[in-house]
Amino acid sequence: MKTTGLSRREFLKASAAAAAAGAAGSFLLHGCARPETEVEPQRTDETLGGNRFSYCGICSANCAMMGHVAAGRLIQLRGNPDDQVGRGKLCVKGYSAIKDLYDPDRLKYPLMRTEPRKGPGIDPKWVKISWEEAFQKTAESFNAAIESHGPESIAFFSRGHDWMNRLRDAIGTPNHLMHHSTCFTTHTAVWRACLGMGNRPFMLDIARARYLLSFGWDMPSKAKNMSAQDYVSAISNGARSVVVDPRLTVTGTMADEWIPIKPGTDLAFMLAMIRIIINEELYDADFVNSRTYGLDRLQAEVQNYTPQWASEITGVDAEVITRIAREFGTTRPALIPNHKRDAGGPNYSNSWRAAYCMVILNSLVGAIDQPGGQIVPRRPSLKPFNAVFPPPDFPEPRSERIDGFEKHPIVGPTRRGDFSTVTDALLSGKPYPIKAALFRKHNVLAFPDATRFVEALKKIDFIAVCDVWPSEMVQMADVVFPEPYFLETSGFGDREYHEFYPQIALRQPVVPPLYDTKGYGGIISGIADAMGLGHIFEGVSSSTLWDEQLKAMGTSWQQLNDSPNGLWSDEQPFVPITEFDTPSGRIELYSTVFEQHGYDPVPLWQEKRESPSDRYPFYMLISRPAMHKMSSTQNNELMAQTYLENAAIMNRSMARQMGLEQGQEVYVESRAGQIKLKVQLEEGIRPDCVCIEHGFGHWSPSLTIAHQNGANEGDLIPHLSIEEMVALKDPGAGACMTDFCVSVRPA
Amino acid sequence: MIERDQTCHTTTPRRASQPDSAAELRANAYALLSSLYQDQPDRAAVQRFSTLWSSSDTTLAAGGLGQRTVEAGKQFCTAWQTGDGKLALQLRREFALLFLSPLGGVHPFESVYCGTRRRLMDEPWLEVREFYREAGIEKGQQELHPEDHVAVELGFMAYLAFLESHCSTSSAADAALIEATDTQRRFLDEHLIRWVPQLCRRIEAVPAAPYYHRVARFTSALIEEDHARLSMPAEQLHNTWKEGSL
Repeated sequence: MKTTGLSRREFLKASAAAAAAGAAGSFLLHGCARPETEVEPQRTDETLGGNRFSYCGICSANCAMMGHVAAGRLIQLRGNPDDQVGRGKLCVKGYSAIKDLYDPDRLKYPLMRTEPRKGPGIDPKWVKISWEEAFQKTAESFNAAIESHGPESIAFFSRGHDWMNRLRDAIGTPNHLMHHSTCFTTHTAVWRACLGMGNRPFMLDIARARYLLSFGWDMPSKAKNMSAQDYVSAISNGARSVVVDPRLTVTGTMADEWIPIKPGTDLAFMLAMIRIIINEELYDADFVNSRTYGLDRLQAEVQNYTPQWASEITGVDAEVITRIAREFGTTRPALIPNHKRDAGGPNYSNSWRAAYCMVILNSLVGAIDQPGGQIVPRRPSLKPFNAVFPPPDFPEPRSERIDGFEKHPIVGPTRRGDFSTVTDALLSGKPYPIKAALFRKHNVLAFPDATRFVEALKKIDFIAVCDVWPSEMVQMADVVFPEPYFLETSGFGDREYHEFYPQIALRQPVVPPLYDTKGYGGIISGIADAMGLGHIFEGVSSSTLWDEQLKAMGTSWQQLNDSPNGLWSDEQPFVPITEFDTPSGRIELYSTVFEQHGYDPVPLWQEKRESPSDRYPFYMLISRPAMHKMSSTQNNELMAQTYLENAAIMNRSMARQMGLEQGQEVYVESRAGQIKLKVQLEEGIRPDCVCIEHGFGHWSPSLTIAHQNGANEGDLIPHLSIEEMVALKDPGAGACMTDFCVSVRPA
Repeated sequence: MIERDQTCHTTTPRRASQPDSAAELRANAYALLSSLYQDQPDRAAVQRFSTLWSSSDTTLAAGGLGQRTVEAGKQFCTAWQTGDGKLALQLRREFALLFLSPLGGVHPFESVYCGTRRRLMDEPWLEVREFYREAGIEKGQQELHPEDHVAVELGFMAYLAFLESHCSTSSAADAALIEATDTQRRFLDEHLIRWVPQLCRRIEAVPAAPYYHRVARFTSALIEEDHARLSMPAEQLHNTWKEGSL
């Protein structure tokens, strides 16, 4: 187009009569007779193309990936072939991350609520505010809460984060809560007690196993990348797979045998196995004698757990239990894989005992930190944040926690908190009220008794939320801090799900941030500054931290960025661990740590908390579909196309006896609440069970794809009081996510 | 409104009659709308525009604006001028409700409506960026919205209309004028008309945004009538200018 001699400055000047200035300000004029120089030209397409390294931020596996960028936009994501975790592949969620990046619903600017009422169906009446206003508003609210009710009246609901932890400590609040009590805290408690390690003890050498016995482990169904690859590899190589699960999962459909056990009775099955393997001396004597402690005492405690006894509890024939025990005890390598919310996850009041049995059984067959077994990750040893940036002296919190989490001595020091007991405290204001809170990526849908939790949030005077999407939690916020999507951020990751040797994956911004977002560290720093606590981050920066950490390992941030494959690796031969950080220095089959803290030192039988009744005749099961990550991906267009809404999954024959048809709407009710959703009929589920997939029932109208699809099964999960939780004597303080029963009736 | 002695750098005398003022009026209308989608409304800018829009219907129509646009513009100005003291807060709320915490699928990006994947940065983003490049411009670094955001596309139309208003009146410049209007027609045809009316309907379907309903009606009227007018055969369009009115 031929242009006049109009320059940008002149256009702006001439347009001063109207808002044309705003419009013209969007553009640079090239090719004008009098080109302007006051604004640097944007990068050209050539510099916006090529490959960028990152690692996936959707789940904690953190598979290394490469993003192909053309003309400034991300075209494709691929797995990094040199990554020992993903091995060049991603899961469906990883491949689909591009849809999340370009989701038009994403949060774009800081927002402030102008409507004091909160909850589903209430428009928060947002207004856009500047970052300075957002920091100031948050700081004023936090400082006012501290002034009126003390530092403990501030609560953080967020995964651990160096910056956030420091602000928490500077404020002096004990109230920091994370999701673990709903996810894998039972496994953590057992590994800490019996092996002295393992915050996330889920690294498995499945590919080399010859016998896989899964108690609710179903990572192929969840598309957990490395586990799915390894499982297929193992069974393709002739490994025998037995799946013990009330529902025929994807793992089960590929297995040699599916055993539909009665929910919450896996403990009995495993206790009988332990008895058989010990009594028949099928265990790996070398391993047990050299690496474990307490076999004799364990053997004495399990003698009552006969296969016949277990059969009556589990509904599985005694012969089957005996056969499985013998197969497991005589095939090497054999492995009971575990991951988070399997039979050893915090589903039932007895789940920690099941998790304990998994450790014992894997130890008996020599599968702890051995090829084909359960491996202790060889993570890089990173210099801690506080070692790089020594903190000032902070006061110890002066109060107990509101959720009673310190009453659990094994997991209490992790400060992870308890999602199932916090609601009571928020509602009652006892032992003291929470006046202000900061939430990050913990959605209300993830809490037990979720609707009640929303009511509890209304008791908090001020809520700040950091998120990428306008989630339900955002709808409850007073101030919203928008964060970038992981593909727009920098950093590096030391992964812990599949590390046979130390390896670090680089994260480069695959594309520049699309909107006015800040990373979590920057948000926390901004709040601290505005609160008058800026000194706690004096001299602190991400780039310095990364460089210091990497230099301590013999590399640097620059070298990592220059790496041809975006990885730093320290390949070493696999040398099994021979000493463990326990009082005996061995894997404790009889746990002196549990004993010291008043827990059963061996996993004695305990029935789960609730059983079917006339009013609630069905066991409740909760799962998650392969294409979704909890409640965070339902707005992803691609994943919504493949799995839009959840359903009440029931046994076909049972449903027909009740007069229910496929797709019919039903009410599912528990003693906590009721939800309405469609029924889905399957053959592969016990007739006495109802299974609902987690992550649905979004009520935020700003999630334009996810909104109102399905229902949140969290509304059915009963909360716990602190007293009830303590009475369960669960060292992991698991939230009993499925330890309740439900009824089903037509809607 | 525009001080031509400071802004026009063409060497030939300007056309004496309507095209210049018409293009200016359109440029200001597009620019105002662009700013209303760009960020929380600036009431001062709206006030200035309202003053302009208070001209008689005849003047506005003679300026090349269709009756529907004239009417929608007046309704918009009236509503915004008569808003009470809470208007500024209401406008901020409506802006955030529609564009920052989207309801009812109100997404102000062409890619969401016309792209095969219905996400940001889809093919329309590439196409519109190429269109800007061919026109000799690109988005400034300070602009956070992507190129296919409605504010940026409307801003581009404001720019094109403004260029048109500065074309000379000489016969040699007629070709430039025709090209200027043709660029606008093509941009409307290939981009704005394909999705902005749909965006406007979605805005009007959100009950809690009454002031932006008027913005949406004004936007769709301007785009649709401008598109119809600019789609006339070039000679006919040119003749209407010479005749002094449409």
